[in-house]
Amino acid sequence: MTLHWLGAVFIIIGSGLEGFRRSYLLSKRQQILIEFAQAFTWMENEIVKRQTPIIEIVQAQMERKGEVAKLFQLFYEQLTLKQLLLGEAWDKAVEQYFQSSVLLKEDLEWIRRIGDAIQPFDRQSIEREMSFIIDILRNRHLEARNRAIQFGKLYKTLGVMGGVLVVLLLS
Amino acid sequence: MHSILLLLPDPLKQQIIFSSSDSLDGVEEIRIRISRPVQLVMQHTTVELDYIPSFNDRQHIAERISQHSFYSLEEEMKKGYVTIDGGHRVGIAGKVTLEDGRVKAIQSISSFAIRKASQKIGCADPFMKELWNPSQQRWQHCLLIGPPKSGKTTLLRDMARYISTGQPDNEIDSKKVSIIDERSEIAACHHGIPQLTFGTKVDVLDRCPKLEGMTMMIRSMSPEVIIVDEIGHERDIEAVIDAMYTGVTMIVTAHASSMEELRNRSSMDKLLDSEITHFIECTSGGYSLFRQNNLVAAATRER
Repeated sequence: MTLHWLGAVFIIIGSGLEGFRRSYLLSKRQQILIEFAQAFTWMENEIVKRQTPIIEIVQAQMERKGEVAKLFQLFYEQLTLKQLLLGEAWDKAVEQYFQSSVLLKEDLEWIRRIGDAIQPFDRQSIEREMSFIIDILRNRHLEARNRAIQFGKLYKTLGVMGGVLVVLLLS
Repeated sequence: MHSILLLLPDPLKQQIIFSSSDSLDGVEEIRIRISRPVQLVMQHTTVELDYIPSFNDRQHIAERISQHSFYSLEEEMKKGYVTIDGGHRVGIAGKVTLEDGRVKAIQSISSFAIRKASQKIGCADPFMKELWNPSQQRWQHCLLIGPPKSGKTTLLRDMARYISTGQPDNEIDSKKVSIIDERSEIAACHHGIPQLTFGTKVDVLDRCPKLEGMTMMIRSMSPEVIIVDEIGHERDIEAVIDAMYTGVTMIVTAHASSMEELRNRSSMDKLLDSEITHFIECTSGGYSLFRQNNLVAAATRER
């Protein structure tokens, strides 16, 4: 009898945790998207207004905490150790970052385009391209935030309730 | 040449290295035009390589020149060239963007002209004794004239080195030299640091207009000799004469194929009537130093 109770608790906890995990991924995605949008806005300002060299920008971004620093660390390695050009280095960095990211493939596709945006020779073109991508990322962040608000609690509740349902069905 | 080769994509680098059976010392310029063969410009010939640069090569060179930040060179690009490590100069052509009718930036690059910085240490030696006034322990004013590519700047650079180093064996003390380098040609500065050989007493005002530069240097660096390249405007000449009155020795260059041509220019009258008594005529064959109108020294130009 005790074993039955123990099994039921495990099922409810397992199912509940899955619900919490899904809810966490939703909230994490929106948080990462806004971090990237802010980082790219800062990067755009540094390029357009101060003409700060890319390496300095990358080093400053590496000082940040979280996912942005992780991507820029990978980018820095590609630029300096592998001596790749901007576009290639950014593509490779995004590719590596994708393996451990909670972002969707479409989110990363927009982040990947930053590599193309920083390649032009004049600031005007860079500004135009970056602003466009930043706007898209901000929109995606809004959409992610709405999803997190809408489905975050639902996933948690469904997780626990789903576990209870399974226990009831099995008993 | 090493710092130039570092800018280039590997396949082009190999082509250049294998194109010359001797060393690459004879290469004066590398011309890279997108979708057209690369050319190596030597003293007398131009060698065309079997290499057609692509758009990717253009991106490679642009990123190597600028450490991945071509946009940060906008100020330099308004003048059409960038000075890189080693003092070499990269001229750039392509599609420009304008703002208020003035060049703002280069939007698309079609050609690079990488010009190797050259210095001929010792090329001024035959003339320096003649320019030194032992009784006053100072250098005398001198005007270098010659057509483009006649070696004026090379000689001027070596004169700066000689003066700032001094010649203790000949009882010539080293003097403080200020170089007003409007086009980064004399000292070939990279991030404001001269890339070529000078003595310990040289101060360089890089990319500074001559007029302001001379005043700034006299006020701030108390030079004994000022070196200025390519004077021509009346206001430049007046500034040079004003500087002479402050007791500074002026060594300047001007574009002209001969003294006669120079005399025919009305703006030069004031300068020729000033305290300048020494003139060096530069030609592709060599240099001749005149005191008033008398030839006092000559040297052939070594390549």
